[in-house]
Formats: sequence, structure tokens, C-alpha cells
Amino acid sequence: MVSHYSVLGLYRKVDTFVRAAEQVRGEFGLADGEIEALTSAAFPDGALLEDATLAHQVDKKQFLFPFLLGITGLLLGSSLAGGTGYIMNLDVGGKDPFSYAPTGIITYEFTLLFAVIGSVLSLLYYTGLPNWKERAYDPDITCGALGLLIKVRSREEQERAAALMQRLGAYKIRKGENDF
Amino acid sequence: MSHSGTIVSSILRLSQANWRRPILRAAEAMTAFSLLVAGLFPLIHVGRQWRVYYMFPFPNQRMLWPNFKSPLMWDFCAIGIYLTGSMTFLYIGLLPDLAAARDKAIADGNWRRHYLQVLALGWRGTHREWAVYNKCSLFLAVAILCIAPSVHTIVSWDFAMTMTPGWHTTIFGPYFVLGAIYSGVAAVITLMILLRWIFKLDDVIREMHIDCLGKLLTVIAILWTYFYFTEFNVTWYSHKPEEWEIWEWQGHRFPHLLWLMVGGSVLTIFLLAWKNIRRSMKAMFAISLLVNAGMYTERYLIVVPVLTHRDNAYMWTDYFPSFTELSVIAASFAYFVFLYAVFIKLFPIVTMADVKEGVLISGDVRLGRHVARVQVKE
Repeated sequence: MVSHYSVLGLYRKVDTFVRAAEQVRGEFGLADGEIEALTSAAFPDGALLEDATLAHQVDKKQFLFPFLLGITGLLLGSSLAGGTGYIMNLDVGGKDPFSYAPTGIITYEFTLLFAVIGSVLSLLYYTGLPNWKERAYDPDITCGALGLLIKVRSREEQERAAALMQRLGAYKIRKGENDF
Repeated sequence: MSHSGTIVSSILRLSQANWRRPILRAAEAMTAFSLLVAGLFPLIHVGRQWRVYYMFPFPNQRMLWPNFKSPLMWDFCAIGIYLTGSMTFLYIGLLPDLAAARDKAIADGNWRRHYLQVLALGWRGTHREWAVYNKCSLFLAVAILCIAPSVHTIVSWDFAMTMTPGWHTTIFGPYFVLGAIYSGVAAVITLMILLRWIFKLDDVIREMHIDCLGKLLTVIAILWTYFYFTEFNVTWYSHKPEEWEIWEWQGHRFPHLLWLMVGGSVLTIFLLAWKNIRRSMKAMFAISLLVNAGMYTERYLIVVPVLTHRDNAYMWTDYFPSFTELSVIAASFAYFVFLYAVFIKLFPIVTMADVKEGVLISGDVRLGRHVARVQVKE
């Protein structure tokens, strides 16, 4: 069952793309999650789309994963290095089985390791990758084309959006179903 | 030798140095493969490879846990974690370029499309993907910058935590960190020039990039020479017999290596002061090799004179590497070159998305009779 329709318009110039994005967005009343810019390089925030809420949301939440996993690493590292001394207690002339220097070093290393893993998990979670399904895309984007991708609710809106994008300077249009 | 490619890459990413763009991948790959080579050495050193799992942090069949009080155990953890971090950093940096290579391979019907499609994870370059990716890269750069000094310090502690004269010194931590960055920058220059020559990348790796790396190398060479001076000066001034004996033995037994180590560093500073030299590919290639020859010698002089000239005179001996040792060294270099060559064959070695970004956000502005290059910064 088709739940949404997509239109991908390809543009060569940034100014044409920005004008088209504004008009298409206004015409169809698209919310932040219903319009996307597909590019082969990172543009400065807000250069292509007026999508301030996206960057803001990502900014706030993305560090939650590395933070939580970093704490997990901290607990694991300290119990591994510190706890080993207690579990496998060797008699070393009455010295405390707990040793600060090794525990500190291993804890530091494990905290950073888990934070790195957390940061990769956050990337995968917030981008929805990996996703090997067939989705709206065109190989021209790799060669520098700018893709304006929108999500609409009906086939009639899809046709209208495609015509509008073409009128606004898109040199190629791709239409799809459930592939936003 | 070259563990510091990711540090160099992290510093350049965080400082947003615009000239970093073509350099990042080569530097990151260098670290990842150096660490893979380094990872073989515990196996070689253990001798009994079937017992290597004794180092893993779980109890073996005799219920013996790894001894976390040993710097060797810290070393194992630190290098393992740095390898994981560096591999992650390399892979995440590759993601947009894997997508570009995937599209090209599919269009050309190239066999590489099979693994590129899987590794690109379905990347499309959406606004959201870039926003998340940039934040993730930034975080990874910070994390790598925190891990790297700890790794190099811990490696230095393998020596410094012993009571051996010549090794038991507080300067060894920063000495190893700076030494790694020094040899790493030099190795990046060597690799960049080789890539430029072999793949005719003159338009991508320009004289300006090597010039900037040369300036960075000059600063580090000055600091490095200062470290030599400090280490020598303190020992010379205190003249503690057991410490001074090591220096005397180095000067007596290995004067040529001592000159290569110190002279190479001082000469590097003088040579790199000239812009024409910094912009000459042949000269920079030779200087980068000289730096790494000096750094290799430095590690040799840390280990060999101390172990051949211990406290008791009846233990004094001489040393020359055996054929087996030389073949292990040769194999480690060959393994690195092999891994690097395979990587270049299978993956994009130039950070294409970063280079494109650099082109996108910069432009020329005329100011009177001058044309200045400007860049958009957020």
C-alpha cells in the first residue's frame, strides 16, 4: 500500500535550487521532515534549506549516545582493572589490592572507546543508516547536482510538484512511491 | 612510527585548516595500517602465539587474570582502543566518498560496486545525513585527540615505569607524544608526495599543501630539538654516573646514529626555513625521509645502548640485529606498503567530499589590484 509519493528534482546551480525549494515548500506546505536536499558535499547550515529545527534537534540529542556509552565504559573499565585486584587478590606484601594508576588508565581508555562506539551508533540511529533499500536518489548527485527531494500525499500532488520543479529549473525529475 | 596520522587529521579538522582537505584520508589510512602492523608485534614478541590470549582481559584456563598493574597490559589496551578509534575515524570519514565511488562503479559496471554498495550503507547525502555526519566527525576528532596522547604516553611508560637509567625519566611521556606527531607529519609528507607522483595528483595535492605541512613540521622540529636539549642538558648538569654513562656509551659506540638523530632534526629546521625548499617536492621528500630516519634512530638509541650497557659491567655487551630481526623489520615495512597499496586500489585515497566542500565554500574577491581567496565560515 502506498503511504506517500516522492519527487526528486535535480538542479545545477545553488541559487536556482534555493528559489525552487522555497517555492515548492510554500506551494505544498511541506513540514521539515518532508523536504530534503541531496548533495555530494556538506553545505553550511541553512545554505540550501531553511531547516533550522533539524540541526537544532540533532545538535541536542546526538551526544546522548556517546555520553551514555562513555559512562558504561567508565564503569566497565574501572570494574575490570580495579575489580581484578580484588577478585584475584595476590599477596604483595600487605599492599592494597586496589591500584589507582592502572585503574585510572584503563578506565580512561575504556570510557573513550565506548564514547567512540556511542558516537558511531548515534550516527547510524539519526541518519537511519544502514538502509540498502531502493530510495529516491540519482547518481548525478555524486557529480555535483543538487537534489531537491519532497514527500507528498497523492499522485495528483506528485504530478503538480514535478511540473513545478521543472518550471523552476530542474533539469531532471524522478518520481517514486514510498522511497523518500 | 606513524601512529599520529589521525592526530594530525583531528587537529586539522578541529582547527578547520582549509588546506587539510586532500591530506586527511592519506594520514588516517597511514595510522590505521601502522597500527595493524604494530598489532602483529605482540604476537611476534610473545613467541608462543597460541598463548597470546593471556593478554586479553578475561581469565584463562588457569584462572589467571591479566595483570593490570603492568604497563604492557596498559599498552595492549591503549593500542587496541586506538586501533578501533582510528579504524572508526577512517571509515566514518570514508562514508560520503564510498557513496560517490559506489555510484561511479555502478555506472561503469565495475566489480567494486559489490562491496561499495554494502560499505556505503545507503548514503544519499541528505541534509540530515550531513548534519549528523559533521557532528559525529567532530566528536570523533575530539575523542581521537584525547586517545592519542594517552596511547603514546602509555607506550613511553613501558620504558619510563622501569627503574632503568636512561629510561626512568618524566620527560618520556610528552617526548613520545611529540615524537609521534613529528614522525607522523613527516610520513604524511612522504606519502602525499608519493601519491602525487604515482597518481599524477598535481591538481589535488598542490605545492601549497606541502608548504603548509612543511611549516607544521618546522614548528614540531623546533619543539623536538628543544626536547633533545632538555634531556641532554639535565643529565649533563647533574652528571649522575649511571645516567651519564648511557650518553657516553651512545657517543662512543653510536656516534654516527647520534649525529643522524640530533643533526637531522637541527638540519630540518634550517632547511624548512626556506620557502623554495618547502615548495620543492624532491627536497621535501628527502627531508621527510631524513626526519623519519632520525626518528627511527632515536628509538634504536633508546633501546639498544641502555640494554647493552646495564648497571653491572659484567653484563655489558654489544648488539647488532640478527638476520631474523632484520627480516621482521623488512616484513613490517612491506606489510604496511602492501596494506596501503591495497587500500588505494579499493578505496578513494583523496577526501573527495571535503575537497568539494572546500571548492563550494570558497571564492575570489577582488580588492583593488589584488584578487583574494575567501572562505565562508559559520
